[in-house]
Parts: sequence; structure tokens; C-alpha cells
Amino acid sequence: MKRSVIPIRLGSSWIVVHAGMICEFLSETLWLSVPGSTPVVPGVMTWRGRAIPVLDLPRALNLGSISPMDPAPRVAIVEHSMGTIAVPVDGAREVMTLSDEEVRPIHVSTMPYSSGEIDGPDAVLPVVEIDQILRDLTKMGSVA
Amino acid sequence: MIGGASYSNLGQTSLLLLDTSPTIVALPASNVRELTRLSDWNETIPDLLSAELLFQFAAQTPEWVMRIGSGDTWFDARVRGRVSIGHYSDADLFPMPHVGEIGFPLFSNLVVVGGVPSAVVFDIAAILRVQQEMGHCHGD
Repeated sequence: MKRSVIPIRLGSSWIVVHAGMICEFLSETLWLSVPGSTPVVPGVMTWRGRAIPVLDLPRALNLGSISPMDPAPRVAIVEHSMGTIAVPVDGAREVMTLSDEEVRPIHVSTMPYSSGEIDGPDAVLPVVEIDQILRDLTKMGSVA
Repeated sequence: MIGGASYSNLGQTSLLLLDTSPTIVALPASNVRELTRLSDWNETIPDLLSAELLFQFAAQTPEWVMRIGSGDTWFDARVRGRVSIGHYSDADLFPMPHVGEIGFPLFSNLVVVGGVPSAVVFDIAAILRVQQEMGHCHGD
């Protein structure tokens, strides 16, 4: 069985996420922080005539944090069964199609929310489950 | 309509904007009864955006006291920062989003100007609930 993933850069780290969740990439897009919000969902932006929450993926993965004062060059729009969410990222590459054998159990990566890892051009890349991050946030009740 | 409050006039909504850099927060103008310059620090008046609402205002002057509420339930709050009034059409106000249980329960709307998010509007019912629980509310 084949699966499609997209390599995403957060700072100097590359990860891959399931391509099926991402419906669009935007170029640098402004977002607004919301007072009292949880650090992992710190604000909102507009997309297709509505407001959507912003996910701080670097913070969820212990890779730093995003800031509305320093907009990321790309924003991934993630469609999830619970709704749509914006994920600012520093870069992305083309979709990779992998066989099941190419996604190995975690051996090298220590990144949270990783379900496996693959060989990238320069390093081993963790397969990060954004779905699991959103489910954990929902369990926590997320925001004030 | 925002948060069930009726403060629209002929399709236009007036908001009191508080510049709390980096974010501007807003209150429906009809839910603010008085805006008084605070000359003496009064510790009995809670900060609108202090610990109760999980946000610390940047220390700025001047200081004001606002009487905020709806119907016969009001509370006083002190605010710091630049205060201005903006007038918006319904098309400028987007409902605040949520993904499952993930949301922003103290805010009802996002103000969007020229496609860019510019302010978040307090949900008056939500902040009244918070203030009532803390015993800060009083009758009209």
C-alpha cells in the first residue's frame, strides 16, 4: 500500500506529515494572536472568507514557537474531521509517495507525535501525526 | 449581531478598540456605558484583561475605567492603552472559529479589514459570566 507525505521545514528541522490532510499552502499570511488562548493554538487568521485557528506546530513538537510579528513564509491549511486549521511553516517540498516498507518504526527520532520515520535526502525524517496533536488538544479542553 | 448583543445600527457595528499591542481587542460600544479617566489608582477595580481573563495588559497610559455590561448586569474594569472607536459592517466581522473543542470562548468575532485580521471582539455574555462568578457585577 502507498501513502503520500509532504516534507515540511520548521526552523532547521524537517518532518513529514500526511499529505491527505493538507488542502492548500498559502504564502506568507498574517495572523492575529488572541489573548488568553492556549500556547499551541495562539491565534486566528482568515481563509476563504472565514476565520480559522492557528496551530503552533513548532511549539507542539518542542521546536520553538511562532509569532504574529514574524510571519512564516508558508501556511499549510489542514482539513481535519474536527474542522480547518492553519499551520505556519518555514518551508515545504513536493509530495512523496512511499510504500509501507519505507515507513519504519521509530528508531532514531525523538520528536513527539511521531508514528514512524523515513529516510530523507540528508537525514531520517519523523512522520508527525497532526491528527494526534489536535485530538490531544481537544482532550485538554485547549483554551481558557 | 455579536454575542447576542444588539448594538448594530443600520447594518453598522460600533466597537470600542483597545490597543493591547500586539493585538487590538474590542468591545461592542453599546455594552460600554461609561468611559472615565482614572486619576487615582483604585485597587478595588479589576483590570479588564488581567489574571481573571488570562491576559496581561501592557503597561501603558492613560488609564480608564469602563462600565461594561448588558441589561441590568454591569461591572467596572480598568483598562490601559489607546482607546478608539471603529465602525464596521457585518461583512467585516467573522465568527471566531473552533476545531472540535478548541476555541476562543471569551471572544465572539474577528474584525477583518482589507482581508487582514485586525482585532478580536469580546463576547460580552462570556466576560459577564466570568465577572459574575468573581462577584464583580452589580445592578444597573
